[in-house]
Amino acid sequence: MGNVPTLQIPEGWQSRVPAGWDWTELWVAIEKGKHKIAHELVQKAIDAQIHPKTILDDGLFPGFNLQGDRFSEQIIFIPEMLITARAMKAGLALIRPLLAAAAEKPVGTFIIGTVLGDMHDIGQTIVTIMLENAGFRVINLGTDTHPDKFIDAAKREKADLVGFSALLSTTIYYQKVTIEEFAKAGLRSKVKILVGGAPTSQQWADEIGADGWGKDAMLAVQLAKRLVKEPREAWE
Amino acid sequence: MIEHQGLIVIGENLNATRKIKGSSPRILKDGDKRGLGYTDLSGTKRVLDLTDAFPEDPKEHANAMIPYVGQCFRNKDLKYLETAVHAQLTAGAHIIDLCVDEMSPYPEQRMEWMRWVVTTVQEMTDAVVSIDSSDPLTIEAGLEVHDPKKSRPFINSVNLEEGRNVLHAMAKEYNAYLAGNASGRAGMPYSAQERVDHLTELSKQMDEHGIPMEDRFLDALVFPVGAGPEFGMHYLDAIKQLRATLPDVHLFGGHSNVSFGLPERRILNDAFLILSVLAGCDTLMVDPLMNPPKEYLEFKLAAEALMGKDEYSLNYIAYHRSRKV
Repeated sequence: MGNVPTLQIPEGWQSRVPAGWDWTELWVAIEKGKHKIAHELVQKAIDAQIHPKTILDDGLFPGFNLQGDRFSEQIIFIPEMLITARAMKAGLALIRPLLAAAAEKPVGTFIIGTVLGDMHDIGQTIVTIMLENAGFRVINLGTDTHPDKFIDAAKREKADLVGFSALLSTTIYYQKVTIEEFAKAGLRSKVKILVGGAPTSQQWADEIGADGWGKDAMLAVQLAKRLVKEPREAWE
Repeated sequence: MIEHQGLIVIGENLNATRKIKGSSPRILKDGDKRGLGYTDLSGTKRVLDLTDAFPEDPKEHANAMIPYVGQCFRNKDLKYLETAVHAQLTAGAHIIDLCVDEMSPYPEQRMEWMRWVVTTVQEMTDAVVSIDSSDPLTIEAGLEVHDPKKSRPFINSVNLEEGRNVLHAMAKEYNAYLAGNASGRAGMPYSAQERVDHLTELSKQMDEHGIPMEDRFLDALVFPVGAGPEFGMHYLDAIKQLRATLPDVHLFGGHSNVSFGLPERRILNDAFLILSVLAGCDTLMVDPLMNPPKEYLEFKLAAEALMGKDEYSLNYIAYHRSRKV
């Protein structure tokens, strides 16, 4: 058996909230995917003048990360992860404008899409929600995405990360092609590139020169959080 | 003609995408070696060697998903292959689906694998083999080596996406049954109506190419309910509408997709197959060992008799006679 994930209680959370405040209910609401309760509790925290970044880090992430780890360990199933993501989204919708007003920058800008010739989008839609929940600004280019579209979007948005999904073994070849196109355009060192999708593997990611492989939606988010901190050539 | 008693079954088990969890009790360990235990046709216990398909790091073994069918192809394990073919036929499959897409991202290698698997499986059976790929070149490679003296080939599948329409002419040239799926030019269908629209248009293209109604197998595309609770009904509603407008084509889907990502898939598949038969499917694409087709055939015959769709219950009675020793 793998690890049994536990709730990671943020260190020193009491120092960031009014006396007597308790996050337990929100942690549980996110864990159990109760989106209406999550919405109410986040509103309550906003009304109590708690900083939006604190609400995100101390209130929302613990339950979300717990379910994410359970999902990666295959303890919970996709629908359970989806309702947690939905509850997270309900809370984020309230604090995102406040985060922006407080000049909190997104964790990074992530361009995502399914490669040329591939019409599958269920997986990348889930990854998009998870990345947004984790604080990334995500630009989703949809399915059947030409390498040029990835390149244009990366330039326009000054992307930190680019991820392409492929769900057919007949289209994962375009992950290789798209990476080659980034190299030809002289952009390979400006972005970190992630690949994912059922037929892909770490071996394939290594073979085509990707910076990482997202085995599942949660691991893709963890990988993105790690890669965004690695050095890259700056955009002009 | 495919000989059947009211329900055509496509056995899906020889698809290189099929995986088994590393922690499954069916995985046998012997030192560093890992394998899948099975009993061959003569009753001998054997092991399909999966050692090379396991990750290098033993800590990753339990959560790894092992592509055991792909490994059977790579090892050219003819005993496992033969067992998998005949177990499906014995369980009631009429068509053996063969998909090697996941063997390689490189087209030439996929074509080589398709040539090998079609030739090898045809040496083991006279049943119809379905040449399954999202790449028309791979399908053509399979058709070129296919032996029509054994059976007619089955193409899986054409759709409205650019580049795939060459398959209509290929079906005609090779006298093949032709499956067509509900994917549209711009992407996957996200409603019952899009499925109906895409397949109606695809069926018109088949008219133009002179593909007989009884050779058409329309796949309304099953998506996992785990990813979207409405996906099951999208499929079932589409089948219901298509059955009304295209009474003479075969209608099916990859029925076991519905349970992807959820536990005890057999239970969900079982209910979904019954719902699919009620909606108007006459063809099932399943793992016939997990969900034995006989149950759905009997359900279909009985349901049609009970709902007055089998006039004077004659099909039902014929089925009864066919089983009398």
